[in-house]
Amino acid sequence: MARDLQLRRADLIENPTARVPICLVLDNSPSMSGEIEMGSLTEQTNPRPIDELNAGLKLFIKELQEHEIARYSAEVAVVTFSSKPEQLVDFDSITETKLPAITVEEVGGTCLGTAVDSALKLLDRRKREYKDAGVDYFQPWLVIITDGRPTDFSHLEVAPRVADLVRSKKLTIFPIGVGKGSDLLALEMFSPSRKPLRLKELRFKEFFEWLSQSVTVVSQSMPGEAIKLPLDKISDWGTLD
Amino acid sequence: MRSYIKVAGSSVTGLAHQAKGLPCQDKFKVYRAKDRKSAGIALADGAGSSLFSQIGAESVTTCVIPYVKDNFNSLISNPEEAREKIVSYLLFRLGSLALKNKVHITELACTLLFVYIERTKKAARFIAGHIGDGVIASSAKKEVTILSAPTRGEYANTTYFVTSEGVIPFCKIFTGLLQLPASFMIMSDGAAETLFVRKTTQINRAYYHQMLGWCDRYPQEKITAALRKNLEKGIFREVSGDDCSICLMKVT
Repeated sequence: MARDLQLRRADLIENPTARVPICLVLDNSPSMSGEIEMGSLTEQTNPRPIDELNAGLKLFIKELQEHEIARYSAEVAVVTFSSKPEQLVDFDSITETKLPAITVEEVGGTCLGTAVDSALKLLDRRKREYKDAGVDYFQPWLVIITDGRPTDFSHLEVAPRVADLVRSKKLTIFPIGVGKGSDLLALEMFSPSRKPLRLKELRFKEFFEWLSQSVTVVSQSMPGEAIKLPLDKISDWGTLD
Repeated sequence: MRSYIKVAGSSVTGLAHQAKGLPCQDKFKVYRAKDRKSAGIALADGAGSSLFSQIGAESVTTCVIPYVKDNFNSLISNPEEAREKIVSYLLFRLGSLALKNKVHITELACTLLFVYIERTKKAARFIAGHIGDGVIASSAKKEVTILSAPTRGEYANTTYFVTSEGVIPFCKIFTGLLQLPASFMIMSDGAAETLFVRKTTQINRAYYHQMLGWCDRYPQEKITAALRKNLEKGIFREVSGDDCSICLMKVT
């Protein structure tokens, strides 16, 4: 049954706090396992990117849960992608949530565009649920993290739509590349006003810490107030190419 | 917005009734005219103390909407008279049924909630009626109101039934004109335990909008299936062990 056909003891009804919906679009292709082929040998990097990503996510949720306003305001969904996208976590309150660990897919690929398209659909549906329930919401956030380059052409169709949403202030986007293999030019197509950043080493924890602080800023903002994200702290985890 | 009329309904047996091997005593009927200009929903909750109340509930839900449809103009022009006419007709039907089955009419005791609408270009004329507990809610242009709250006796487990002595004054009739889009929801007391806030006599708006929002996006069959699934488990089961029924109707 489609999720919007389910009546849930919903937080949407009992919690009037304005929401910040955050959709994380995360690459879980085989390269995130950190195995690098060296001729006939495979070298295992230590730590593994996927483990660092999971640790960062765990910290992200924990920090949000510990904040007295953000815990009622932030809602997180997760879409993973490799050869195809998968909706791993649907939008819901994070007050009690425990995200499942992301595992690396066996089949490789980077279907960036279709994954982002799935995220847009999730965000659209959640916004409709907010409207139906009379719950206010902030501009949705879309975080894209990938260590590869697109292996299909779907991003060529989806990226301009995302860019339009960003320009019309209907979406805030954070495109992040991991490692030297990530295609920042492809990510840039989604983000007309904010250059994609490359994660320093595997500083997922620092990135997600920054993200939770940013969500906290938004969750506490008042109508009409200019939102100032902690941009000075970006250098802790990211670099511009 | 695309213009449509949609109706859907569902009833499920309460856990308490299931445990005792009792049938579902809630019955409902939904109607939509082929020309999409009129529609109706009706729901009745059979009295737990009456032996064949589910048969009484089936009977009144089957006959009330066709009766109101056939007599719509005369009924809507005189709501006071409508009350007497509708109750008399229902008692006649139940009386005949009782006679045929050689039982006392009170063994067919049930509540009744119904709404019938006829659409004009930008509005819907309606008649709604209510005897006993359960709730009728309506919405026009997104404003949700309680058209009729439960009528209870002195004690929580007492209410009025179609077959109650001197029931006519306790049959509430509502008529009116609603700007489109308009919607109605009727529910038995089992479902009302979840959706209706007795203290404020308000319905839970979020659930109301969510369910009526389905009409904008899904065909009737899917809405009916969703109603059933939601009544079978989840929020309704958590609150009530009683039979639960809901009917929806939306006109745009």
